[in-house]
Amino acid sequence: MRTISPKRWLAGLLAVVTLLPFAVSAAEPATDASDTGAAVQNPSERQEGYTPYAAAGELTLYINEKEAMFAVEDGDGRMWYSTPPAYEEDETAQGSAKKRMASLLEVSYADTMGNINVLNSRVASVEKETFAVQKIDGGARIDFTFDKQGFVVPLEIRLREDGVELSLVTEEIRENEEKYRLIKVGVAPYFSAAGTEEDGYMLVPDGCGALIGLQGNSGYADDYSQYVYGRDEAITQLEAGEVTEDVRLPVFGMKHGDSGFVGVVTAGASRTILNASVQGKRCAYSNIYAEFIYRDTDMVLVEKKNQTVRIVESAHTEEPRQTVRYVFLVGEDADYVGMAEAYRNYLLEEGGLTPKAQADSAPMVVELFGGVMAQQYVFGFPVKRVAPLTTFEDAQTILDALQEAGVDQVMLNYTYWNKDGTGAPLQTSLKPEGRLGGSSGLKKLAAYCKEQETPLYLDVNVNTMVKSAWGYNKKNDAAASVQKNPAMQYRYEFSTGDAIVSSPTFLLTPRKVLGLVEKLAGSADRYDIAGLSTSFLGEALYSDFGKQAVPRDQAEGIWRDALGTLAGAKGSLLVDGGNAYALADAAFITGAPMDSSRYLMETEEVPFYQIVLHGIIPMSSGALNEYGDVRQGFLKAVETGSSLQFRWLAQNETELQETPYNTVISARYTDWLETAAGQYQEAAELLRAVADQTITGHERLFDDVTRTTYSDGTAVVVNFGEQAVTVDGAELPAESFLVNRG
Amino acid sequence: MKRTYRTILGAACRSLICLAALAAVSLPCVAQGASRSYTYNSREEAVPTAAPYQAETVLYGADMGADALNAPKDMFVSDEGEVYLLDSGNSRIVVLNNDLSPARVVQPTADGSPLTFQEAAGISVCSDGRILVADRAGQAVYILDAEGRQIRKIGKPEAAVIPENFQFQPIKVEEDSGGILYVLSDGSYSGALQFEKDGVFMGFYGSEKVDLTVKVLANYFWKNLLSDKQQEGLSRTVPVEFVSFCIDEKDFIFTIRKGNEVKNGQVRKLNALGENVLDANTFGDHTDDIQLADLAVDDDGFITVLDSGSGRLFQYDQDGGMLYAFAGKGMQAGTFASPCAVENLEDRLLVLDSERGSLTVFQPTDFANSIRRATLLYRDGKYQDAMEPWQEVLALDNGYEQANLGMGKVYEGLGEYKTAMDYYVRGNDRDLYSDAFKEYRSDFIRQYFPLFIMLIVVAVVAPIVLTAKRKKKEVYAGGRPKSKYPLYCMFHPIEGYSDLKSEKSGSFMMANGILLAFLVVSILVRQLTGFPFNTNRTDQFNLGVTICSTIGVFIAFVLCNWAVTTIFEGKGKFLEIWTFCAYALLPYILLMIVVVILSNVLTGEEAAFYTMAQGITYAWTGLAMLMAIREVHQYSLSKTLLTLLATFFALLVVVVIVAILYSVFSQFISFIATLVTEITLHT
Repeated sequence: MRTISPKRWLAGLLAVVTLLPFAVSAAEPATDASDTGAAVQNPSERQEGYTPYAAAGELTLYINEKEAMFAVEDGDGRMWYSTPPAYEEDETAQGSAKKRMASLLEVSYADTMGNINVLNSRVASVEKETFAVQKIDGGARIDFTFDKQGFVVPLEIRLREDGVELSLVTEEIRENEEKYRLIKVGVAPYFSAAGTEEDGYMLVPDGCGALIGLQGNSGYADDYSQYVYGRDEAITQLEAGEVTEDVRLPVFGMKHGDSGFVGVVTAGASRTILNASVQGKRCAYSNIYAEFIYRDTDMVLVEKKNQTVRIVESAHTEEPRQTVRYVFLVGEDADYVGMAEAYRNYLLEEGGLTPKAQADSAPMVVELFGGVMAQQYVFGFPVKRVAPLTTFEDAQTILDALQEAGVDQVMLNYTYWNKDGTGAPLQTSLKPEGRLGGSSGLKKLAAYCKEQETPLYLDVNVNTMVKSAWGYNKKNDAAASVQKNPAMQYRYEFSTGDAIVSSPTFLLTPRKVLGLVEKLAGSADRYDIAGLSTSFLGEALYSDFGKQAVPRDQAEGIWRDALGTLAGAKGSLLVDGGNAYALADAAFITGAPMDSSRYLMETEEVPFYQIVLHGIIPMSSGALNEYGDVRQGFLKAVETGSSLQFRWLAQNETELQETPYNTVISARYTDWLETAAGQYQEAAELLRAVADQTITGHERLFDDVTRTTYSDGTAVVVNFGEQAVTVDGAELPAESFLVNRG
Repeated sequence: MKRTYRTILGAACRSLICLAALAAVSLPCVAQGASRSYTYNSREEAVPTAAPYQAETVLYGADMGADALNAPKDMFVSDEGEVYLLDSGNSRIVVLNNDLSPARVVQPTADGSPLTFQEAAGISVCSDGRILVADRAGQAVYILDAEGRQIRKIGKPEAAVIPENFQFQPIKVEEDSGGILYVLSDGSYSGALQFEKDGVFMGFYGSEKVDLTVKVLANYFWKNLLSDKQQEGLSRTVPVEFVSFCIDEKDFIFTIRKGNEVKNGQVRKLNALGENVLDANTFGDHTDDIQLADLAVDDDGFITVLDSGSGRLFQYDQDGGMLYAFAGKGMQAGTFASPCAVENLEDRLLVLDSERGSLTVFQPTDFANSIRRATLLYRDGKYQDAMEPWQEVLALDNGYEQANLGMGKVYEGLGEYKTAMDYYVRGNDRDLYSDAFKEYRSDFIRQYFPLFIMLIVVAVVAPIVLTAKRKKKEVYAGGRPKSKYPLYCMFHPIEGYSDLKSEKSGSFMMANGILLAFLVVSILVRQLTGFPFNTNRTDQFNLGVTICSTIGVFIAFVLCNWAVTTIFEGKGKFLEIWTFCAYALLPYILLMIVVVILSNVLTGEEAAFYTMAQGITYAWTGLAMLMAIREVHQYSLSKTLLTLLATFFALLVVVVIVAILYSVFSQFISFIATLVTEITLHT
């Protein structure tokens, strides 16, 4: 490493100080001085004790060895502080809130009683002087010792040419397990926090993505907190949760003034919580950060004593380190499109992602619901058997109907086509249901699809166990909850939200998923289809807390291998949902998130997910016939150039009513054919034209009007509102869009 | 701890488990909006529906041209479409325009000095712009002019009908078109207080009579016997209190009660005489834990009810028929912390959240709009016009019962009765089905009239011919083949069973065959009885239960009878009783088939024939059983009846014992389960 001698540093500092006023006025003459002025201050000017530790490209890393804080300066003198330099003058923050701002770590741990306590490194380590800073290649390592609790938590700070990387060295964490168990560690909670006066927003990857304005949402100031890749399904949930969107990408960002950053969790994403809060509640700064889960815990109701007890897992994460990388963005790049671009570049360079989008291809995705296992009656006698919803012949009829209606590019994703339909325990091989037409019926359909050049994908289930199957016992081979029982998956009562405990399903332990997938992939040659599809692996990730525990990070690795195997079976894999770990192997993502959860602290919804991936991986919207307002759903797809998606069935829809699939209430294709074909005609030209273009710009022109710009210059303006608007001199009717070819 | 599974974000709940609860159920459904919408179908089950409303925006004080609202408690939409928010904590009224842009902030004053409410709970605005505010703790109703200047203050009225200990705690106030003021006082069971325009008290209005229940009667009885002191120990039976009300254009007064004390009729629509004209349906969730807080009635008469406990909104048609439920508690747009008031603003719904100081604006989706349009047409009898909106509803929600009934009406009108019947089955309405079926049947008969005549001729002639031929054979000298006995016993119960006993010709195998047939027919009866007569859930069939209730009961009966008759010197052996009783079931088996067929061709109006056929079956079977028992034991009739009575008593004892054993056993199982959990948790 090249160390900077004090002399050279001083010279550089002098240069910066002298050039500072010019730089400021040149960069942003119109900006309010309080905005940029504060950001461009040199740390040595404002704050004593910052020592240069490393340099990379234009960036310099400073460490405050006394207070265990750091700062990064760029070539223009912009600063990114781990702790707001003026934090001590903050009048909103009281007591521990102030100390928290000066901390690099926030540690949660459980005592022997199962109570959770939160500690920050300032109070428990820095002020007690039980920490050690050492220089390492490219940066610094700080070992925080929490004496009283017996923890040693090492943090590495490494400078990169485009930003800085913080790694929790989890493999070297030490603890006194007898007394206290480490639960989670928040890293640099106030890194580049934004002050009261600053203008900007935080980006959260909630569903499609959302912004949290730095000024808060008109006075609503609750915190944001979400688990990357959604909740762990192995933790049994006895009451219905809220209807929310999951975090699909482990990314977050902050823009304030003319600079910002995007944070990417590059290691340990599956055990990460993203937190954000808006200034005014705890302190005068808005902050967003990643919190790493070291151990899992769950509350258990002990019925005899009628009290809940917290169980803390003894196993902890196996990842050697959990890392968040901050990439700095300045000027025009410092917005959510710039953040998306930085993340896209990371995925292409290091995330194993290769561009798969093809020009002129924007098929309508039709997901077919094959058969549902239902109680049926033959002369009044009950028989539990598959009720055919869409037979292989029906599928062909639907294809013909679509063609007749002018839909010339279709992609079929067949779900529950397999033997026993929804009642199938797990799939060990590709075996179609006889009542849908059996093997010969499927072969005929496959041949027909081939002839029509319609890719046919067959959805496979390697996770959900409705019942035991040969070699897979629903209790013994199920992922276990923290209580060490099989983790039951419930449906919930509408009125009370209580779990319906009578008919749970189970999840196959991650340990056995890969073996099953390999077996299944071995039988993929039976049918001449375009590929397999998974509606689960790209959508949910769970641990196994049983005796042979599989932590979530390990499960993520298994999921990657499984997705690779499924993709390899036919050379093409359809992934529903599209969590980040599934992107590399997905040929197409169906059901990409269309909405955020619309948490009240969020000020705006942005299609961040689509901005990152459009033009790289082809995507489709969620099923439009199941989206509350089909026109709005359509416009959302148009906004981001996503293919249209529908979920259909052909007959017997009433058979679904007494099954777990009773939420499928609007899928009769005859009801939707006309709408679908109309929407396809309306958008096909645009969707095909931009299919392989990345999104280079996205902005909100009015409340209900957005403009998306693609790399070839094409711009699409969408009016979601109920009133006509005039954009660039052109009239845009209510709920419509217009295309400007660059 | 249970609660925290629900609230997941925020400072109060930042532990791991809460975060783990973030995702929704992993059901294959793309739900738009932050809650699951549902409705109660005709079987009282909560079933999913498409999303009826969607949160359009959430407004806070800052969006209303004011600083943050402090515990707002009520709101009112004036005739001009202005929205008045009662910002109770700040003692002011925030007014929004029809498009929800800020209009003005009204600071109430009295004689030029600021007027401070102690606990303002209700607001309404008269057609001339006067503002009425009910102050609960202030024990007053304020009448303000449009600028907020106090015109009049109404305190506790002095009148003979007002009880001495009456607490005047106004929570809601509204004026009808005649200028009469209605005031709802918290804790008053006598209904609303009526005031004239000038503030003169008129009397009580709309008080509800105490439902006459056993408890009321018992209380009445005791009150006459006990001293005053003792009476205090009795639980008081009083009419339940109202929490809110509103007045529609036609001066109907809608009242709403909290709801956890009563199971139905929480919403009432009172006419000028104070009589309720609304069906006493169940409003809100069909659970014990409901806290209905407010209601709003729009220009078309649709009723929206707010449950402040669950944060849900329920919408009903003009007759109180449920349309759908949506929203809830949470931290997303379209969910609430502590909702307190609901209003209509044209087609939008406004909900006030007192804890957050926010106003959530909901917009109806196509689903709700179609339902409302179709419901109005359907009510006017314009069934054909309602076809299009009902079709739109069914595309979004195949199972929506009312839409299926609406489509049934359409097809019935078109003369396509079979299609209509299918829709009525989906809508689960037996009466409408019967009507359509009647038409269908007469069509059918008209079409196949010649065939029917022929069948009738055959039915009349054939028996004559057959019996004429058979008469020669009818001389009996014993030795009838075993296989002929069951049928013979059916038609000749007295001789049949007697011969059966004396000739010992009962076949155990045949008896078992009959038993099997009995089971099969029982299942057929349960599953195939025609829709108008079948109240069983044919889609929820449990073979075990059916076997227990047929074969199981048979075995228990035979066992008990055997046990009893051994004491009473019965001559029947166990297997004999078994065989005889089984033979006696034959009438049931054969006749029930006819009954089932009848149930499929008769309509609800012709139920008498069906009941009669059923009666004949039961009587015949009963008689056969009586004869069988009598002959097998060689009893007199009176002794037979006596032993039968004893048998039934024994049967009762058996049932009780089985029930006890079952509960003990299940408790034992749950005890073991708890033990296992505890052991695994502690190791």
